[in-house]
Amino acid sequence: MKRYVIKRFLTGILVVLVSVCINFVLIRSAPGNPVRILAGVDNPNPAQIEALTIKYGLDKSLPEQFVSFIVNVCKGDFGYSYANERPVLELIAEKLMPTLLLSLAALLIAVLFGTLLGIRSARKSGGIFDRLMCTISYFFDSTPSFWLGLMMILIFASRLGWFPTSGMVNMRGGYTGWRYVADVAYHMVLPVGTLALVQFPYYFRIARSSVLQVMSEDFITTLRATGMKESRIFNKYVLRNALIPTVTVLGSSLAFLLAGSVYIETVFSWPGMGTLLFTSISKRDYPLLSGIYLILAITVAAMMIIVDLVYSLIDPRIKYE
Amino acid sequence: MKKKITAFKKELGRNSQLRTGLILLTILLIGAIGAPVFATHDPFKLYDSIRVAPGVDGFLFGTDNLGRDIFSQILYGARTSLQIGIIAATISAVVGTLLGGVAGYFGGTVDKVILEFINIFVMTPSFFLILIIVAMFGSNIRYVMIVIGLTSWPGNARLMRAQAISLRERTFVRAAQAMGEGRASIMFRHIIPNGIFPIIANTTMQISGAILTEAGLSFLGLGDPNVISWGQMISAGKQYLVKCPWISAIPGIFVVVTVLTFFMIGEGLNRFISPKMQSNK
Amino acid sequence: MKKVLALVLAFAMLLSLAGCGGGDTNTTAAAGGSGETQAAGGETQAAGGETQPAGEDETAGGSGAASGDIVPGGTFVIGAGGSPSMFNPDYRSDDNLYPIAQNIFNRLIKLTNYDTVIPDLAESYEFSEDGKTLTFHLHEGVKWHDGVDFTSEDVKWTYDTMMEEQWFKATVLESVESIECPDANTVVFNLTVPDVTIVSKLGWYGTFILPKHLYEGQDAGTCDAATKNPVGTGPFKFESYEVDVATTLVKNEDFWGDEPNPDKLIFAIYKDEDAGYQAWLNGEVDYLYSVPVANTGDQDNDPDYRVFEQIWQNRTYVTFNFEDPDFGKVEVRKAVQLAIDRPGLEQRVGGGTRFAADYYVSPVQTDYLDENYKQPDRNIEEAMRLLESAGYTKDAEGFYIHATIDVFESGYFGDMAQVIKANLAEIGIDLTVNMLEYAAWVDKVQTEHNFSITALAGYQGPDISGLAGRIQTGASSNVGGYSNERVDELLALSNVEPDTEKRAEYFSEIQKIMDEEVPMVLLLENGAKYPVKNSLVNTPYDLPEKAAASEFTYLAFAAE
Repeated sequence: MKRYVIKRFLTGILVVLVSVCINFVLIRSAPGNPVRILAGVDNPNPAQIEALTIKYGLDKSLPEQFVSFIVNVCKGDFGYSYANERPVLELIAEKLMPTLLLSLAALLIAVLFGTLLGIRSARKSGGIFDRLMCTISYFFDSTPSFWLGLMMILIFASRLGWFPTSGMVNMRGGYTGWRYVADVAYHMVLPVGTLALVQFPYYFRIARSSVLQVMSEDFITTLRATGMKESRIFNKYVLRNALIPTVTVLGSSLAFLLAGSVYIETVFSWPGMGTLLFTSISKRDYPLLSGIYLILAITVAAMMIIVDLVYSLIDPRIKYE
Repeated sequence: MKKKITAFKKELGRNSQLRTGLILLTILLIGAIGAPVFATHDPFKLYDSIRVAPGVDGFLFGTDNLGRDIFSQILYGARTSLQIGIIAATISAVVGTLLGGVAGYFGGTVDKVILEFINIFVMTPSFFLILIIVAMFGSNIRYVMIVIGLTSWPGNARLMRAQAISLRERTFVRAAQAMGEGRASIMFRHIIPNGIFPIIANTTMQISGAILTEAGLSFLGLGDPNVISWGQMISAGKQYLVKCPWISAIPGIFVVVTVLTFFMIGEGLNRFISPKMQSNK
Repeated sequence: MKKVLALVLAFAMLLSLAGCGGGDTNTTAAAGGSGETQAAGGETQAAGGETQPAGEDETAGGSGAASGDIVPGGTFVIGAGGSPSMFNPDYRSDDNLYPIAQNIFNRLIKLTNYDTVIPDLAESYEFSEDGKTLTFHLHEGVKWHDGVDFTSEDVKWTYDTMMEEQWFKATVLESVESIECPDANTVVFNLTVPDVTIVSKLGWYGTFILPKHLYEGQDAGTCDAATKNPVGTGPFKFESYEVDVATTLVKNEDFWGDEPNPDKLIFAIYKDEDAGYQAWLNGEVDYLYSVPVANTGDQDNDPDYRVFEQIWQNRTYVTFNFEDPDFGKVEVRKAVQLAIDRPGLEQRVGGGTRFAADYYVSPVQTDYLDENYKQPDRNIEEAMRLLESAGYTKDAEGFYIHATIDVFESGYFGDMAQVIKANLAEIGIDLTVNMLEYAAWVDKVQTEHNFSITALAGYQGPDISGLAGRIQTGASSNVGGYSNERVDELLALSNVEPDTEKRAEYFSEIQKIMDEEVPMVLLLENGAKYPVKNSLVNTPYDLPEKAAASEFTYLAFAAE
């Protein structure tokens, strides 16, 4: 077990390093020059451009830049955002919270409802409820999230006026304490709802099919033959085994979820990582871009490793290589 | 093989998902291939009827914000969407099958190395990679297809690896080995053809994913302006969502239907492979 | 000699009334800073003599609503298009900072939404008899937000540093030889030539006065005052900035001018124009920078709104790489000019705030526009004839030329490129549209000159002389590298010519040359149709005599 943990951990580091390396080369070889963007098109000053180029170390070769980037990151220094003149880590910390708030709330709702509905569907598979739920889940699975978000704004914010159109807080309010929390929650309804709606079919189908699969297995038939009550079989044996696949996909779905939140953040003007990523792409803000990508890579890798470990704990059949 | 075809026919009779999916796909393909025949207008031409509703001035689905015929654009857009979906998924299938097949069949160190490689790719936030590449290098439809393909293969590789591991112990593979057939030949003649089915099912699902990704990128303003695509049609109509909802709504419906089509086919195929479980993805 | 002075003064007045405008920021890029704002740039622009408040609301708007009608104080949310990149408003062009800066800082004089120059820190100014000395008399008792006294030395330091370090609007001060401070409230500009354009330019963009005591000896781009804690002399003090969310300003209780009404101003960031518009409709935003094209005109007949209409010296045009083997030829450029359906383009992407361009100078410049030189109407046969006369023949696909148009992502530019592509296809020029992100566009087009055709838009400054930035040899917005000695000569002459009629002659000749050589195909005249809710009064549009283009000193909610 210990060896397995260490191995996974090392793999995680390798993964992060490789993907950050790819990213580093990619963003710096893309067209666009951050210093020129900073200097502006209006009377750009060559001396200023040169000074900035040296200041940001962009005159050095790519490998040199990469080494100093990695060395600094290891020291915990992610550099300074060119466009914002602020430490990268500070900016990311500020924006990661809103994104996680959005993603995790949606994930929780999607998993909870998806799984419950999936189980319910599977118990009476082929029935009206099952058919209805299958159709609904297909529909939301095929609907682009940005499109659904636009529709939500149109109907629930613009037409009905029940919820705010966008943003995370009421700017005018200046709330603090519980009022602030309530205000954020109010602003979260539409974006979280949208994200949860497009995510839930995934968990619905997993829960439904794994319940069906477990129910058709031999040991269940045997249990039935012993005359055990159906509800007891279901609660005690079917559910536990059927939930394992859901746990396994949680890790990989986080990357998917963060991706989905880019659209949602754009549609709802939610001040998170997606928005920050876009700004930093358009400004060619290299340190910020690398920093964002690094944090994303670490988050995704960490989640997957944790889920792997949890999975191996709950499913004793998994062997540690 | 013949047995399989008969089984498939039988399956079609029972498997309503697969049946509906295939019927829809046929319609889509006819529309896409026959676009020049069915199109009522030139999809690129700017007509003087700007933003007219469906049915007005002889425009079946109306015209968009620039005065282009939406019906004809839908037909030509089907080509783009299908092309993106199929090419990206094919790249993913080919890479996944080869890597997974090699890993599973050869085993040992090769397997370990490839498995680590797969793990690395699974853990990469690929969507962000796609986003950064397309945003920074320009929105060429070829990049989009290739990048989607090259980032979505790990699922296929895992499936193929599992298949190869179980197939390599089967008698017909052993027999081929005993007869002195080369490893590469066995891979391509026995392992891959016999293990490909789950990958086909998964690839079908990935077509949906690629179509949705393209639509999403277009929405973020990263579509290729030189081709007609449904994603771009949706985003072009975004500003007019309230006033001229058909501009976005019609391509939106087509995206949903197409994605649904491939989902149904994929699910149907899965059900066909393992009738006991409905879906394993 | 007094006559000369009077004349020059009169000219300066005239300039401020008829010729100039003020406001925005953009030169090449519609969206200098963010790449997202509309080319027309919303309310940050002012220009043209044609502006007029919508008639019926004169009482509510025009008179500026007497203070009895308003609710005193309050928090106001201003919908902004993007995040400011720093807080030194003179350092680099930043469309997202400009409106905020107008509330934190002051200029010597300021431009309103109605093209007038009104006093700001300078109570008055005058030119010497020879037109080579410009004296500003500053307001007394002005303090910086940190309590330090403001003096003429701040002005001198700001402009000296601007010239020395070549900040982005250093070109405004091209004719300045030296700046003197005879006393704490007087600033004297010694000019090398009698520059008739300098006053209007000083009131425009990138010319805010900065606190010498906080900047001196530090890096003007990275010091604390430039990045975190801007200190100005303006009606509002900086409170906070949250990246991608909002900039918050609070009332300056010790403001030297009229007492500001708002307690708080929040510049809330909506990167998606449609999201900002929906928030405004929903009442989450009080005052909006710009209305999406698709929604322009929606409030025209709504009694709850008053609508302001404007047109500026802000033009959308197509320009060429003059070293390109195809588009370097005048016949090809003329063919393009004949091919583009300008009225059709207006209908498709205009949204009621843009009008098809016919002439080589902006129609706002009524004194300088020579109607003899007009762009020809669409004529496909003639265009094809020109291409054939230049030796082109059609290839198998039916095209004379295959080329690429490079445009950056901004508002209607993508749509416009599609229209141009469709138009040119009809005369046998096959265009591939290359949509670039702004950063990549700057690299490819402006820096490397690696392009054939591109499209540009943007405010060209208050005065007709702004045209120079587009066609003068080596000018920063002259991306195609157009160069004509006679044009350069005429532009230089016009800069020191106070007499409008003589100036008009120079510009007439420039228009003649433009007509012959087609350095650009002018497509659209950009303006805005600007709706303001009636619950909001004393906006900059309502108070042209007191408020700068985006100054919210007087902004108030109307009493029920």
